[in-house]
Amino acid sequence: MKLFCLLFIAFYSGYAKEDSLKFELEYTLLYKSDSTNLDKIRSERFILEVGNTQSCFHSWISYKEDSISNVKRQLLSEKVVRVDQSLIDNIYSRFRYKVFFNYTDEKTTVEERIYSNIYEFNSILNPKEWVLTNEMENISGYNCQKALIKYGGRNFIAWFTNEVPIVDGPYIFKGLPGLIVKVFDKDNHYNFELTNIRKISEGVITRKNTNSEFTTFEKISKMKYLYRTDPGSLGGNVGTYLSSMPNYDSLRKRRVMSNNNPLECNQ
Amino acid sequence: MNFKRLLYIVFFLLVKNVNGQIFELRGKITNEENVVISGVYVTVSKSLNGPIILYTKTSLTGEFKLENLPDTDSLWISTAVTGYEKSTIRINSQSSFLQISLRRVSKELGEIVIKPQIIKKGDTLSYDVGSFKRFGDRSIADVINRIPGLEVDLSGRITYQGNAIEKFYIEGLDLMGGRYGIVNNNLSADKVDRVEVLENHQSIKMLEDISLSEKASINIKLKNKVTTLFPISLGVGGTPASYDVNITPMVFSPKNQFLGSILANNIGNNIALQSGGNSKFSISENNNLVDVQNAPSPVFSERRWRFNKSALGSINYLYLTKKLLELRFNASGLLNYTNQEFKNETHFSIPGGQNVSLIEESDNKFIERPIQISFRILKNTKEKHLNNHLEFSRALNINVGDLVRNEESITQKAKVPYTRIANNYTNMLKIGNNILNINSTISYERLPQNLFVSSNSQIFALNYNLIDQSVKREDFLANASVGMFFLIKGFTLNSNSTLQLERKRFNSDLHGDDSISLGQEYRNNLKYERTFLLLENSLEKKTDKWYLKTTAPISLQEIYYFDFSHSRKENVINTPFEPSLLIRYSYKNNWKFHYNIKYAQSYGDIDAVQYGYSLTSYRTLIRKDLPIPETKGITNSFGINYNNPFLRIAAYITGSVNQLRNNILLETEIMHDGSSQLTGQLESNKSNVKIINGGVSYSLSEIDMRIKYTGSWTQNQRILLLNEYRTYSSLNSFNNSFLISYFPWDRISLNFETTIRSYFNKISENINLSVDNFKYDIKGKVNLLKNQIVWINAEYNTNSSTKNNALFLDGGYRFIFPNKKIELEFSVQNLLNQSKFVYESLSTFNDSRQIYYLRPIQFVTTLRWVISP
Repeated sequence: MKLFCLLFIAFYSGYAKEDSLKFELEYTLLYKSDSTNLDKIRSERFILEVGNTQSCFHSWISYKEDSISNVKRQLLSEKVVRVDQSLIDNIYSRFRYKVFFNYTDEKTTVEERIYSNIYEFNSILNPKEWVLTNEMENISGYNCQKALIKYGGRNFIAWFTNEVPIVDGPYIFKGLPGLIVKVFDKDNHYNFELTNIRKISEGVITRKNTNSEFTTFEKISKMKYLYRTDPGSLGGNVGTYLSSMPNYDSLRKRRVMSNNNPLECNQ
Repeated sequence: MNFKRLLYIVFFLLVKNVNGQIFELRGKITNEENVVISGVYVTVSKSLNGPIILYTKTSLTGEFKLENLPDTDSLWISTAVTGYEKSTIRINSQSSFLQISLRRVSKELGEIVIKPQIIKKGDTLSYDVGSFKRFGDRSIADVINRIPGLEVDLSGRITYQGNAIEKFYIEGLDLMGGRYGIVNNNLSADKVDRVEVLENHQSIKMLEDISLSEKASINIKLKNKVTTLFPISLGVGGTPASYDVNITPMVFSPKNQFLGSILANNIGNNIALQSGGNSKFSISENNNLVDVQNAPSPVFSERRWRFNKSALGSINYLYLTKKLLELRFNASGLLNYTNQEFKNETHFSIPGGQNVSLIEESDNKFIERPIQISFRILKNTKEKHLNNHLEFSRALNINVGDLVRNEESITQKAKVPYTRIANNYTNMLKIGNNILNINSTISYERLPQNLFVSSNSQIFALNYNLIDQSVKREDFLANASVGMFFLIKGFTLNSNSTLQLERKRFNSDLHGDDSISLGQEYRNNLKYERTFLLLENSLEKKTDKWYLKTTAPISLQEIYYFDFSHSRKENVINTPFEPSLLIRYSYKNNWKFHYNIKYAQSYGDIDAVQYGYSLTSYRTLIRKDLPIPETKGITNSFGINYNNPFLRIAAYITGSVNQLRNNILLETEIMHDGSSQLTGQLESNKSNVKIINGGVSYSLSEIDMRIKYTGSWTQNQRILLLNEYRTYSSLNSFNNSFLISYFPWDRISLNFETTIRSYFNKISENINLSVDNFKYDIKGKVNLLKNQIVWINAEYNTNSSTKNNALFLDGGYRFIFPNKKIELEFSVQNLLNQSKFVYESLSTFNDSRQIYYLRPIQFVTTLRWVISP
């Protein structure tokens, strides 16, 4: 019995120790959402939460969502017409996805919210397509190697390091033998750069949304295209609500005009 | 470290010796509990930090197979998996199976933020302090000294790639104004997040990207928005009774910065240096017109032969208003009593076979009482620059020297007070795209000094046993300039016109016994006036890789000397044109090359002409009954700078050749008793100065070792008249310093440092003089049980010709109380109780040997604690 207890404690403490390991990485994305106005560069902060068996990549805004949801709700309820754009940018993320990466089977799953619906689909990036080059450079203080991949109609360049005990990357950019410090497309329309790493000892990564609808990348791409160009056509409560707004058309035009350059530009 | 070694051993035990070529490698990866780990990336590189050429992943059974490995002498296998430390192993073509055990990311990391150790962005290098800090490091100076390319001396002054830094900012604010040694030596490294090196830093924000500076600056980034520190250090010891006090409260917040300081000791530490800066207003500045006979600074620590009683008080405050106006006040005062004893043996080598030897036994006492106060208002934004800086300093210094020369007993007393006041005003305004620059400086200084010498025999064959040399110098300077920075198609054109007025007076009189004046020949009543109109145009162009600056200053100046006592005057009007060109090229971010050529033409200052004799020390008499000296010359200088923080290599080499043509040939007459008389005559002559400086600093992070070398060579060639012989002197001095700092284990540090200082002088064809001084330091430090540190330093000094070698042993023990805020330290200096030390040096026409009498063995117990809310 004693032996069993000892074994149990040993197992439990080992398990607990493993669970307590967690890193929080911060990436900054600089992107150009409007291909007709490439001088306009937007930015957004992302968090990559790293656990023992999986990681979760999401916008910093959604990370802070709970604390500011009240402000959001208030803004929506008041139907404020003139709102400071920076305020909206700070509380609304344009990237409403969470990317889960399973370290054991190397599967990358994306959970994306479109209106009130949550969809889940597998990433189509094939890690085997990464091409390593011999180029090395010091990026943000890390010894990095350059790797190339084609994804979403763009040629991406990634700089990864094996100096950090984390093997992961931002968004769906996974599968390199190290941590991606910087990844950007050749035209520099999308540029993720690592800005901080913290080792933290509490918190777990959980999938909150168990009611997500499983779909494919192709289907979600179509939906996103419609969402970008004509939200009303998607139907549903919010779609109807939006299309019933008096200035819906001008809103829609502005949205189409300014949001025409998604990362996956071939979809 | 130990763990890695174990891994190597495990690996070598498991390697199979197979004859022939192996094209594949298998292996298994487990954790510390021998449980297999799946999904581990196993990568192959041809060099330690080289690119990955192949990689695979471990299967569910933790096994991996790498096929088609290139058949080279060695390959590096690394692992990468989240949550485990990276393991790197070197293999050769004989290897076929690897068993690798991985260690989880150390629990000790705790809440520590893992940040990039080094970030390079443009001209800014940012170093993570935590990554460079080692056990026993207390202040930020200790950590800065470990960063490749940066070096800190005992006074806290920092050099970057061999050049002194320009500004020392704390969170972007310059609290200390150049006197940053106190902050550097007292700010706890634990409070600092990052140290930033700002290369080519332009401190005027309006001129950022418009006009570059050659110098680097340092910015200290603190961990917290508000840092309040109250470090107290109290030390007492014996023999004789000694004390060492350091109380330095400081507050750094976004709007307020404050540092106060009370330092006092009698254990040999020169605290004046800590408060010293690089301006004339520094309290450590020496500007004595007359002085007691002194000894050169030896290669070993001055602390060993300084008997002192020193106290320093300093208050520094900076307030940043809402309108971004910086108000800064600095004040410091020093009381410094120093006693130094030494024996000086000088041998003058004079062509023609005349040799003069001089033996002096000196006991010098220095009483320094300077105060320094400054107030600055600064607005430094992209839109506006306004700076008004008012400085005042005053000192009542007295130096007394008792000296025995052969049988002769000489007493010297030099009263060397000074008073200085200066105001500098700068205003810059944007006019369209261009920037208007208005500058004005006004300064006044007064040095009423005096040297009293008494002897039991005649001084300088002057028929007097008592000599009283009084000198008084007054300098007034007013300067106003207006300039404009024009920005034209990526070029910056700076046109500046300056009007400067200098009015100076030099009065001296020599009195013998009973205040009898020695007459007109020993009197000066000189007035110097210089009016100077300068028109300066400079053109700058900067691209990503190139930087080019050319300046073309032309001036009209009138210099006028008039001596009332001698009714002599000199007047000259000239229009010097002094163009210069600077080219700098950056290659691949890490390399910087520069070349600079400059033509300069200078005319004598007030001290260049002197119609009557005056004494500067008891055995140096000066008279320069000469026309206005004129020096024209070209200086060529180059520099190569390499800093790859990622590879942890910083290296530099700079060189300059300065070829001068002078219209005055200096003449020295050495008398039979070693006294000298300096005069000169009108004769065109050439002189050259060549300087090469270099340094390399390399850290091998894999084994935690740092290697550093710095070296310099200076050659000074000139023709001179020595006791009426026309001769030349080629004085060479070499300085070499080599350091290895090694942490064989986490808690042991070893340091080995050697310093070689050599001089070589060729005076005429047949007189060659040379001396070498060597210093070897071995320092060992052990961190016992986390909170105890023991150290021992051995310092061995020797030189080429004397047999008076000296070994010094110093040591100590530090106990850190668990809360880490209190430390108790026992230290011992000069454990072997060495009583004297011999050092050799050369100057233009003599070689000399100094014997310094040292402080005896000394024990100090110090209690340190930090109050930090």
